[in-house]
Amino acid sequence: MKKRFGFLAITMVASALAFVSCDKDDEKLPEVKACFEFTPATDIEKGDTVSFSNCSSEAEKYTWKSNNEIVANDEHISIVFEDEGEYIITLIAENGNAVDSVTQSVLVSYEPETMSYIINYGSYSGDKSTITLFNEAVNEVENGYYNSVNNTDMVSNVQYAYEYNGTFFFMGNNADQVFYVDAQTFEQTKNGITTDIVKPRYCVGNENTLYVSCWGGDIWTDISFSYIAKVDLITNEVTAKIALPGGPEGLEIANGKLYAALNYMDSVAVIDLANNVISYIATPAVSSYFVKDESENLYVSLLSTYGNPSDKTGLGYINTSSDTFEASYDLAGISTGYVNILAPNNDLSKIYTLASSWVEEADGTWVQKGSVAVFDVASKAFETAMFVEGVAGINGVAVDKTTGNILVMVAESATANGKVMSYKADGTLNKEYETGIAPFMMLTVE
Amino acid sequence: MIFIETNFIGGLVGSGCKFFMLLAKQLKDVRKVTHLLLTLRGLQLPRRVALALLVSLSISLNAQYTNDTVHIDEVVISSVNISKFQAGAKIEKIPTKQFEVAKDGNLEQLISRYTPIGVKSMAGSFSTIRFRGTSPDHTSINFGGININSMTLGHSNISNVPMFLFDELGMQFGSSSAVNGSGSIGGAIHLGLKNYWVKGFKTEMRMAIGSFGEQLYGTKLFYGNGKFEGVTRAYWYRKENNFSFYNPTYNFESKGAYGEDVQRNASIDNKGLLQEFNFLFKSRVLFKSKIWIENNQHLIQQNMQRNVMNPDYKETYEDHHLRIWTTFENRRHRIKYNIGSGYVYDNGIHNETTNKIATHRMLADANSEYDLTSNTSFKIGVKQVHIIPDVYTYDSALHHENRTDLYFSYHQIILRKIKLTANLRKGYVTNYTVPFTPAFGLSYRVYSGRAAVLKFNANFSRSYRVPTFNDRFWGTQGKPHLPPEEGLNYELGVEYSYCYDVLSGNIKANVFYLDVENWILWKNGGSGWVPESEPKVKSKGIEIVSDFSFFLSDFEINPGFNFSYNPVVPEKTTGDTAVLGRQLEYVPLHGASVFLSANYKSLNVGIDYSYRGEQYTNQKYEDILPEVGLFNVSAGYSYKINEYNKIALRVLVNNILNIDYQSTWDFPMPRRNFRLSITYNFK
Repeated sequence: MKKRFGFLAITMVASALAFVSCDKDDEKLPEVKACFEFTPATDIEKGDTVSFSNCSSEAEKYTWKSNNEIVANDEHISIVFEDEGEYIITLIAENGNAVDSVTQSVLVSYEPETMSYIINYGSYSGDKSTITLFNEAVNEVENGYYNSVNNTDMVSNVQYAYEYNGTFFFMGNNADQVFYVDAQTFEQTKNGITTDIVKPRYCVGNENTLYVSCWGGDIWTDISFSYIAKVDLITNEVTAKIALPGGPEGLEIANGKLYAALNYMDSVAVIDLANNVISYIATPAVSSYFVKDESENLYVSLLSTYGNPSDKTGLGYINTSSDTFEASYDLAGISTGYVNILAPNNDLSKIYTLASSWVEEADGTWVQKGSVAVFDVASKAFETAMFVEGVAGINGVAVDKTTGNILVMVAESATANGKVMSYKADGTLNKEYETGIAPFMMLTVE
Repeated sequence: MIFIETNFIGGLVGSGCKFFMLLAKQLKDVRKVTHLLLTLRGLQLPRRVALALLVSLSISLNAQYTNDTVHIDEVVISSVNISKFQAGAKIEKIPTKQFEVAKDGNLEQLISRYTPIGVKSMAGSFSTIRFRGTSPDHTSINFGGININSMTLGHSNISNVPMFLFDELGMQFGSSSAVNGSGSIGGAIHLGLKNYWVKGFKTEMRMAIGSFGEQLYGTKLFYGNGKFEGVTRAYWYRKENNFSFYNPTYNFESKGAYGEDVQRNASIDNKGLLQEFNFLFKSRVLFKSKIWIENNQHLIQQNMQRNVMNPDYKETYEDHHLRIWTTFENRRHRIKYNIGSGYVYDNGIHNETTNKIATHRMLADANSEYDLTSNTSFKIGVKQVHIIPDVYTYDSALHHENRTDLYFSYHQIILRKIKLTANLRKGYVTNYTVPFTPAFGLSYRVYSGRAAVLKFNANFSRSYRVPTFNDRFWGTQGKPHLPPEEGLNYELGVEYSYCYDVLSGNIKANVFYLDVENWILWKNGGSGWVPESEPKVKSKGIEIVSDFSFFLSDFEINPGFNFSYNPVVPEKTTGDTAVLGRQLEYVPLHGASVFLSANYKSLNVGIDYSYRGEQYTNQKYEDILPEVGLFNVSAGYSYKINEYNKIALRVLVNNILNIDYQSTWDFPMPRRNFRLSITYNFK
C-alpha cells in the first residue's frame, strides 16, 4: 500500500513539472522558413555569375554556404563560379533560436569556344607522337590526350596536323599513314590511309579532296620521288598521285590553285586543280611553308639548307593572281626545321617566325640558339628586335587564338618531355607548361 | 696426342687444378698414356719422354700455381698478355666451351647469352653494347692494334662481328684508355686469333642452319710448315629473319590488336674473309699479318607499327670494312719490342645513297718492353693514327686528322704477393686537346694455400674519348672544339679460387664507381640538332662472377653465374624537363646469367639462363621494357672418324619458353628458335 501511494505522489509531481514546461514552450517562436532561388537556373557555364535571391520568411540572420564552406551572410548574394562542376548551395536562415535551412544544387558546365591541341612529335626512332589538350584560358593542360580518348597510343610520328570540315587529319610517318579523328571528340574510328602514302608531309583540303604532299622516299637522294596524293574524303582513299619532284612541303590553296613549297628546289610549284598541270614560280631559295593573307596572296618561308644553300633567306611574297614572286624580306637564320615555323596572329598583322641567332654564353662563347622574329605585315619588314631569343631547343611557334598569347614550343631532347612557353603579346613570359616529347605545333578547333 | 698451349698455364686460377684433373683423367687410361705424345712448341717426343715431361710439367705448373702468382689470372688474347700491365683490372676471357657454343652466331648473341653486359638489339641486324651503363661509344672493340669502332659514329654494330672468324674473346670491364686509348671508358672487347703453326694442312668446314632462314657457311684453312703459317677464314651468313611475334598495334577496324604478325623486311646478308700470314723466324721472333674484309648488308628492321601498316617498306644498310694489321715482334731478349702498322677503311651506305660516309685510317704502333729484373718491367710506346674522312657533309677543308699517343707502362712484383702496375698515356690530336690519362693497379695475394688462393684487387683509371668526327664536323652542327668525354673509374675486387679434390672454381666480386663527365648527346639547339657535352653520369655497381668445375670419372660439369647490380644515374644534363637521378635509359639495374654445361666423353650439353631487369626507354615513366629471362639449351657431339677426320654436331634451342620480348622499344625479338651446325675438321 505504501508503495502504491508513493508511485502516485511521484506521478503527480512529474505531471505538475510537465505543465510548467509546457507553459515555457508556449512562448511563441517565429516560424522561420529558409528559401532561395537563383538565376540563371540552367545552362550555367564556368565563369558565369549566378544571383541567389533570398525568399526566406521570418528570418533575421542568413548564412550562405557553398560546398559546406561559408561564403556570405548577406540576404541576397551573387557567386562567380570559376570552375565547372556541381556546387551544393545551402542557406541557413535564423531568427533567435528559430533556425531553418534549405539546400539546392547548382550545376556549372564548361563549353569552351575553342579547343586547342599541341602536337608532340615524339622521336622518329623511339616514341610515337602524343597529344596535349591545351586551353590556357582556363589553365587546362592534359598530356596523353589521344590515349585517354582512344585507349591506345598513336602509332606514327606526326609531321603535320590539320583541321578540315570537323575532322583532324594527321600526316603520320613511321608508320606512314594519313589518319584522322573527330575534331570534337578526338575519337579515331577507322584505320589510317596507308596505300600510296609514303612519307606524308603536309596537307590542305579543297571541297571533297585532301591534297597531301608526300616525299615518297629518301628525297635527299632523288628529288623525283615526291608527289601530291589526292585523297577522296568520301571514300578516304588516294585517288590520284601527281608527280611533283623537289620535295613538296607546305601546301596552300589560293585562287583555285594548289601551291606547293619545294624543299629541294628553288621554286614554288603551282598546280592547276582543274587539270593538274604544274607550273613553277622561281624563288631565291628553297621554301617550306605558307601563310595566306586576305587577298589570297602567300607569304612563303625561304631557307638555306645544306643541299641548297642561299643567302636570300627569310620570307617571300607571292602574288597568286599573277603567280609572280613579288618580294623577299630577309631574315638570316630562319629555321629549316620541319615544324611550325610561321605563326600569324589573329588579325594577321604580325607573322611570328622561328629563327636562330647567336647568343653569348656566360663563359664568353657564342652559340646559336632559338629565337622568334616578328614580321610586321603593315610595314613589310621584320622588327629589329627578336620577340624572344636564346631559347635552347626551340621547336615551333604558335599563336593561341583564345588568349592571343604566343606559344613557343621547346624540345631539347628526343627522349624527354618538352614544354610550351607562353608569352604575352608584349613579350613577357606568362607561364610554362610541360608537354609530351618534342611539341612542335598547335591545332585549334572552334 | 694432346696439345698443350703455353697460355694454358696462364688460365684462371683453378685451371691448374683443372689441368691436374685432366691429366689424372688421361693418366688413368694407361693405354692412352702409353700412346701419348707431347707436342709442345713443335717438338714431337717419344712417349716415355713425353710422359715424364708431362708429369714434371704438371708438377711445375702446380708449383707455379701454389708458389707464384706472377702467371696466375693473366688473360692472353692473340698471344698478347693484356692483363700484365693492368693489375686489379677486371679482365675476363670467355671460356672455350661457351665460345664454341656461340661460334655460329655473332658477338651480340654471345654477350647476351653469357654475360650481364647490356646490349640493345634489333633482331640480330643491329646491336650496340653498353658496358656498365655507358654508351656504345664508350667501349672499344679491338682487333690487333685497331679499334674497329666507326670514326664517324663512334661505335660498332656488334651483330656484324661474327664469332666464327675468331678463336677467343677477352672483355675488360671499366676504363682502360691508358692502355687502349680513346673510347675505352666503359669497357673494351678484344677479338683474338691464335697461332697454330701447323705443319702441313688442316681445315675446318662449318655449316649451320636455323630458324627463320638462318644459314652459315664457313671455312678455315690452315697451312704452313711450322715456321710459316697461312690461315684463311671465310664465312657467309644469311638470315631471312621472318619470325613471328605478337603485334599489339591497335586495329580500328577489328577493334583489337593486330595480334599474330610476322617480321618483314629485316633480312641479313653478311660476308667476311679473314686472312693471316704469319712467320716464326725463331722462337719468340715473329711477324704476323691479318686482313679482315667484311661486307654486311641488312634491311633495317622497322618498328612493329610500320611492320603491319607499311608491309612493303624497305630500308637498306650496307657496311664495307677493310682492316689490315701487321706486327713484327721480338720477345727473345730482356728488351722486347713490337712494331705494328695497319690500315682501315669503313664505309656505311644507307638506302643505297651515293652520299658517302667513309673514313680511311693509317695506323702505326711501336713499343718496347724491358724486363729490368724478373719482378720489374716496363714498356714504352708510341701510336700514330692518320685519319682521312670522306663524308659528304664535312667541310672540304678537312683533309685529315692525326692522333699520336705516347704511353708508358710499369709492372712491379713485390714479395711475390703484390703486383703493382702503372700506365700513363698522353694523346695529341690535330687542333684538339685530350687529357693526360693515368691508371694504377694493385693485386695482392692475401692467402695462398695448396687448395685455395685469395686475392684482393684495386684499380684506378682515368679515361677519355675524343668526340666522333660527326660530333665535331657534321654539316653546320658539328662542334670542332667539343670537349672530350672523360671518365674516372675506381675498382675494388676480391677473388677466391679453390681446388678441392674433384672440385675447382673461382668466385670474383667487384665493386666499381665510374664517373663520366662531358657525356656527349645530340640535342635540339636552335637551328637543328647539335652535340652537347654537358651531361654528367655516374655508374656504380657490384659484379659477381663465379664458375666451377666438377670432375667425376668421364664426367665434367661446369656451372657458373654472372650477376650485376648497376645503378647508372645522370646527375647533370641540359634541358629542364630532363629526368635526373633516375636509372639511365636502356640500362637494366639488374642483370644475370646462369649456365651449366656437362660433358661426357665427346658429348656436351648445356643450359643457360640470361636475365635483364626492366629498362627505361625514354626520360619518362612510361614505355618501360619489362624484365625478361630467356632459357637456352645446347647439345654437341663430336665424333672422331679417324686420326685425321673429325665431325661435330651441335644443336641450339634459344628462348625455349617462347617468350615475346623486346630489346629495343617497339622492335620485336624472335621467339623460340633453333640452330643446327655441323663442323668437319680435317687433321
